[in-house]
This record gives sequence, structure tokens and C-alpha cells, in this order.
Amino acid sequence: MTEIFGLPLSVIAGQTMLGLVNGCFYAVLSLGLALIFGLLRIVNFAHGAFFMAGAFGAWMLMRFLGVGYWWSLLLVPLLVGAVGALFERTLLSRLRGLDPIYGLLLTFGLVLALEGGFRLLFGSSGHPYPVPAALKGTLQLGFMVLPMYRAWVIAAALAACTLSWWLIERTSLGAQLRAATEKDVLTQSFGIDVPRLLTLSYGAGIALAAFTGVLAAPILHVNPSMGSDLVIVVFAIVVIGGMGSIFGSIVTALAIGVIEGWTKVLYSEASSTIIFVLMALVLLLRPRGLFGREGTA
Amino acid sequence: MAEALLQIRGLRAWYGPSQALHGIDLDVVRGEIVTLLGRNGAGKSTLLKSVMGIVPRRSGSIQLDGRELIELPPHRIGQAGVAYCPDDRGIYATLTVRENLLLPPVVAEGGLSEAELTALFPNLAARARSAGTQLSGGEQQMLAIARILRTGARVLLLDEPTEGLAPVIVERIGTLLVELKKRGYTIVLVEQNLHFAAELADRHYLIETGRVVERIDRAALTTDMDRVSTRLGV
Repeated sequence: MTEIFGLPLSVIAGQTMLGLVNGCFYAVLSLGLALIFGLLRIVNFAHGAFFMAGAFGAWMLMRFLGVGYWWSLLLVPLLVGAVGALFERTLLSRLRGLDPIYGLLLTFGLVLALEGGFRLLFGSSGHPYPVPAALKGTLQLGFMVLPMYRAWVIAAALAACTLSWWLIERTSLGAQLRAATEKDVLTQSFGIDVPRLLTLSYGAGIALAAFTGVLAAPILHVNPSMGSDLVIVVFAIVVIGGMGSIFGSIVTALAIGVIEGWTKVLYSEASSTIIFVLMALVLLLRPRGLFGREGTA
Repeated sequence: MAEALLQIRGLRAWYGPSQALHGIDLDVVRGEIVTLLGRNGAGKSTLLKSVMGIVPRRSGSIQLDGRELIELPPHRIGQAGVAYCPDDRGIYATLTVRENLLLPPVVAEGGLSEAELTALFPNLAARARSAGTQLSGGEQQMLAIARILRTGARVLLLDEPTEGLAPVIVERIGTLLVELKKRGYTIVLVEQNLHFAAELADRHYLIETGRVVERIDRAALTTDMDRVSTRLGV
């Protein structure tokens, strides 16, 4: 059997694949986070909580209404995204023009409320969510065995990223988003309803987080703190990748996922700190982030 | 004088605690070019921004064709048919030239089509796919004006369109403004270049420390150029 660093190839390939799956979660989450930060100038602490709400949404729909995975994948992002848009319109929008610390505090408060609420209703322990029937089983790749569901997660997450990229970079709605990100006041003077764009973007970012939550439900146990565990890493990724480039944050997220996976087998003690070591290095050497653009960091 | 298309009464504006406009009255008749003259910091740019609703606080009355605008948010003022070209040109770096051109939504019929704009500004078509800020200063100014001609807005607020540009470009902008006036646009122009203003405008408002201190007719400025020029400190 082929070995790399004294490890069998199948172990390396397995960890790469696990890392890629995590990287996909990171990518969709950091995409939403970057979209929200760019337009609203708000560090959305609640991103992980909405991810968790997405996973719980899928679990609740199945448990109480018998709604299956595929419908959840469509409905949950819409429902949770609508809640996000409502939160922006009624509360977050009042903080426009104030110190960003207020937005951070409000969204952090929402994390505590959401996590506390779910804990109160459903307890702290995890709830299993079944892999949909169509995606059970494995693919035999020769050098490794790939569970179908994980392959689907990678494909679905990359599709979500590609669609978001296309919407932002190639459509007229995307041009309005970029314009409002760069010069909000001028953009509004042209007759573009910027406050509505902000609500829409926040809702879209939250919908992406909820979509990731549904994707993650069959892999991670559905529990109230599943978002907090993930979102810290996502913040680090946004810092490493820089705020300026969607493509950059996707690439960074996938790379970080894989690096984290490898570290687990090579030197598992460092697997949870390696990301923050990288973040510190990037901040020292390139404060704008690897792909950051001037003036957008 | 005919009835004003844009009628401003008692307009005051503030940046935080400091007041920048102290009760401006101003009328612009349909199809006129009116310039705002004054030294740096007199409040000319603030006046344009106040009409657009993009200053922190303002009060008074701004009527467009009899419709009160002062309570509206900026995008509703844009949709009402007022278009603004800022003194820094406001070209977006993250948008291509064509995206910059097509960004402002059409708010009324009668705007120039993309084909007409291409004919008027051939350079912009040639560089359609470049980032907006890769254009030269003159081209950026052309783009900043071109993009508000597409929307059907009939009142144009132009903040120093000739600032920092070569004489040949300034001349082209002058020709363009004459052409726009012929097409019935109503233009309020902030201008430091007195000779440029004198050639183009129907009337002038002299602004000092946030107040209108003098209204000067076209003919009067030509005979009185020296006095006004001293007053402006140019």
C-alpha cells in the first residue's frame, strides 16, 4: 500500500474528503457572512445560530410534520431566511450608522436567545437525523470508499457557492449589491432602494446558513451548540481569506477544511489550533487577508 | 419668469452640530442651466446633496414640479426624476464600465438609449468590460454623466464636472451640456470655472457661507465678470 508521511494513502484520502466536507460547510457559511459584512457592515455573530436553526428546522419538520429531507432542503432556507429578513428589518436596521459594536452585541444576544430557546425545548443532547434513502450507500473509488451523502454535500455546497457567485458577479441585482457595498449613499441616490437590498441580503445570507444546516443535519448531531462550534472557525476563515473576494473566501474555506483534516491525522493535538495559528500568521504578513482588496477589509 | 420646475425654499442643512446651509431660496425653470458659484466650503456641494437627501439632516422645502421632496428618502427622490453626479464622480471600482453605465434604474421614459449613449461616448463602449476606475479622469467624468442620462431623470445636479480635467475635455463637457439643454434637460451646475459657467448658464447664484448672496443673470455676469471674479477669489 502506498504511504505518505508513514500513513496509508486511504487514510490521507479519507481525511482529505472529510476536510473537504467541512470546508464546504465553512465555504457556504463564510460566503453569507462576507455578503452580510460587506453590505451591512455588521459582524453577524448569529450566523452559527441560524445554521443550527436550519438543522433543527429540518429535524422538527421531520419529527412533527413528517416532512422529508428534500422538501426541508427547499423550505427551511426560505423559512429561516424570512426570519432573518424580519430580524434585520425590525431590529438590526435600527443600528445603521451606529458603532459596529452594537450590531455585534445584538446578534450575540440573538445567539444566546436562539440557543437557549432550542435547549429549553429540546434539551442539550444531539438528535440524530437520518441520511435520505436516495443517498445511502457508498461509492467505491478504488483508493477509498466515499459515502454517497458526503459526495452530495460537496456537490450541493459547491453548487450553492457557484450560484451565489454568479448572482453577485454576473447579474444586474449583483451589480446593485456590489454598488451598495462600495458606495451606499450614492447608490441610493440613483433610485435604488438600498435599505430593501440590505434586508434581502441579510435574508439571503441567513438562508445560506440554514441551507448549510440542513446539509449538515445527517452528518453532525442536531444540537443547540452545533453552530457555535463551527462559526468561530468560519470567522477565522473570513479573516484569512479577506473580505474583498467571494472566490477567495470559498477557496480559503476549502483549503482550511483540508488542512484541518490532515492535521487531525498528522498531529491531532494541533487540529483545533492550526486555523488560528494560520490566522495570526496571515494577520502579521498580510493584514487585508489573502484575497482582500484595498479598502474592503 | 416662468414657473419653476425645481423650487427650493428656506433650505437648511447640518453636518452634526455645524450648520452648512442657512435658508436657501432657489428656483430653476424647466430647460434652464443654472450655476452655483462660490468659494470652497460655501455650501454649493451641500446644496446639491441636500436636494438629493444625502446630508445627515436638513429642513425647509424642495418642490419638484409642485411635489414636495423633503420628507422622502434618497431613493424616492432619485425615482422622482432628480439625478446627481458627485464631485468625486462616484465611479464604482467593483463594477465594469458597462455595469456602471447600466446601474441607475430607469425612472421615467425619455432617457437616452444605450445606443445613443454609445454614439455620444464612443470611448465608454470600447472599454465596456474594464473596471470603472481604470478609465482616465476625463472618461470617468463622461461615464458619471452618461449613466444618469439613461434613467429618464429630467433634473441633473452636476457637482464640478470640469474639475481637474484638461481643457480639451472641459470643452467636450461644455458641448455636451449645450446638447443636453437642447434636449430639454434642466441642469444645476456647481462650477469653479467662471468662464465656463458664463458661456453655458442662463442664470447664476452666488453662494457664501450657506446663503444665496446674489442672483446674477447671464448678461449681467458678462459685463460684471471682474467684480464677481474678485468676490469668488479666483
